[in-house]
Amino acid sequence: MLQYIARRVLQFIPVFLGVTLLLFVLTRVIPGDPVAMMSGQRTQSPVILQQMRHAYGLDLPLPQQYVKYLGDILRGDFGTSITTGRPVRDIFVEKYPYTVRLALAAIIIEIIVGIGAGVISAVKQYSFWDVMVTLSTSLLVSLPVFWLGMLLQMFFGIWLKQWTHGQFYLPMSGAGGPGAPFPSWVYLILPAITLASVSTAYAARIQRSQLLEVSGSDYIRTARAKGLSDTAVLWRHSMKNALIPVVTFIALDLGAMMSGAILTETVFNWPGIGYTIFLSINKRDWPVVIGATIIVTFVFLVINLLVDISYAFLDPRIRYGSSQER
Amino acid sequence: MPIDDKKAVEAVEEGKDSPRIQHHLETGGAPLDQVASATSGGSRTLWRDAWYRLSRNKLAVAALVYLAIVGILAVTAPLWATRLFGDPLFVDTTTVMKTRFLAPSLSHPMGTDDFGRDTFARLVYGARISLTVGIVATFISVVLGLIFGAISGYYGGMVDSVVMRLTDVFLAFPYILLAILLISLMGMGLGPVLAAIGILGWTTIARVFRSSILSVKENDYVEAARAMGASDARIMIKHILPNALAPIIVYATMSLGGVILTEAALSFLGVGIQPPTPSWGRMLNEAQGYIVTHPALFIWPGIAIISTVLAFVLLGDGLRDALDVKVNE
Repeated sequence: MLQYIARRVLQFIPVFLGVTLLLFVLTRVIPGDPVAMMSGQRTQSPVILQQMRHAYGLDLPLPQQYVKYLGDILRGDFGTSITTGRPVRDIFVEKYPYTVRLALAAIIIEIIVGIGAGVISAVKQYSFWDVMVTLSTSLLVSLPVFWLGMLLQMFFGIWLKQWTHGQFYLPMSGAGGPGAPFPSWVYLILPAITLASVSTAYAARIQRSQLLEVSGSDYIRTARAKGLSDTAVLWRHSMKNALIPVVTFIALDLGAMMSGAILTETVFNWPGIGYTIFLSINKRDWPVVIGATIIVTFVFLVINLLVDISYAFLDPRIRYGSSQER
Repeated sequence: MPIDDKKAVEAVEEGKDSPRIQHHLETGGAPLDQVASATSGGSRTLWRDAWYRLSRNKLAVAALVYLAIVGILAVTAPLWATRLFGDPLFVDTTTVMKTRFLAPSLSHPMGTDDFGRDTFARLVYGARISLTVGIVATFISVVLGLIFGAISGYYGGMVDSVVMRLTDVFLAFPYILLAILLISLMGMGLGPVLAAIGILGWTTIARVFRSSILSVKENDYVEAARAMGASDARIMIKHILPNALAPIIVYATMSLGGVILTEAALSFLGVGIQPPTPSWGRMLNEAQGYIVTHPALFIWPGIAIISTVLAFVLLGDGLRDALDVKVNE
């Protein structure tokens, strides 16, 4: 087990270095001189520009710059916004809780609706509900999330308000806060549904196919043969095995959601890290974009690592088998 | 459990498309005879069998027909769209206040947008963009994926590890973010969108092709070809690629839908196709301000995206079943 963890962590390092290297190269080839950008509209004398370049280490050879850059990252320095002058780390610390809150809400929906729909549709295979689940999941995976977000805004933000004469509706934008007309959890509803939609469809599909596959296996037949009821077989035997792939999928999806839902957050003006990155792209504030991307990718990789390790805890085949693969 | 047996029999009789039942049908059931008799006129090849199976899949055929219609409309658009519905790009500033937000009518079947341009004509021109991006970007991904997959699977060892770690690096990024960064580097517009999506999509194809190579390259006939002095490139193209083609076709078809969604997302965020070129994502971006007053402006492009992507997904599903490819979701 320890050996597996060690191997997995060792794999993590080159990937993270690759990520930082790729982003470093991107920062160096992005059009525009960073020093000139920092001075804004003012034209600086070449002497000052040279001093600034020296101060930021931009006059060093590229490999040395990369090492310095990597050192900064490891010390937690992700650069400074060129539009506000704030350290990227502070911006991240302020915005990230919103992203986490949205991701958790979406994951809860995904677990309940995704697994629930998958189980119903597998247990009642070919029934009306199964057909409904299959149809709606096919539709959901073909749908642009931002369009679903706009649709929900139209239904629950606008039409519902018109029908109930302003009595009842859901907020379409922002995350609430002091003085807002709704308690802050209400602001989560539409973005969370939007963010969860596609993954919920995938989770339901995986759950359905896994459960159907497990139901055909020998140990389930044995359990039936010894006289267990359908419910007991389902919950005590089938689900145990059928859940593993779904849980893995959902855990990895949590990692993806934690790395910022740029589309959902943009549609709903949700003040998370995804929306921040979107705004920074429009303002050409590259340090924020790149810095936030590094942190977010790091979080994603760490969650993947944890999922892999816990998966190996649950399934001994992974621990012993995976050294041959890949 | 008798109930389940009954269900299984029913399912077999109905020919439901569960892969296991399909398999059962193909190995032991009556439909195999049908397959044989239906193709008895000529030689039975993998592709003929696959085509026969695909043609019996109603959803896949419907998807194919729909895509053909969209494709024909898109390709022929310059011949009729402007003449019938007006220029999808040009804004006549003198009449715009009278022609904007028109309700659907004979001359404007889906109404007009905020600049008085015909929504249907813009959708048809948007289909040109979506299909171009889908096909070209997928093609770039497939070519890159084949090259990297081939190198990785054929040579193995150190090269293999490096390429596989490279796919890990690419998969570690939030996809949309990396696409945005790449596009920002190249300047926005159609070319950069094609390049960025194409460059980012190679990892899956590379992994699929790599595993195909690993399973094929130990075969005797590959060994025989090598013994006869065939070069690496010849072995790859003449002997390995044909055997690895089926999964690649399935993946490419499925990812076409994904590519169209990505283009829509990028254009929606404002970094993709630039105005006044109509792209479905761009139209959604512009419609954002009119959700309250003119919801039709965002409904139509959404329906266009969903139906096209769904058609590619269904076609991909059909091809997967027809070519008997295992795809893990």
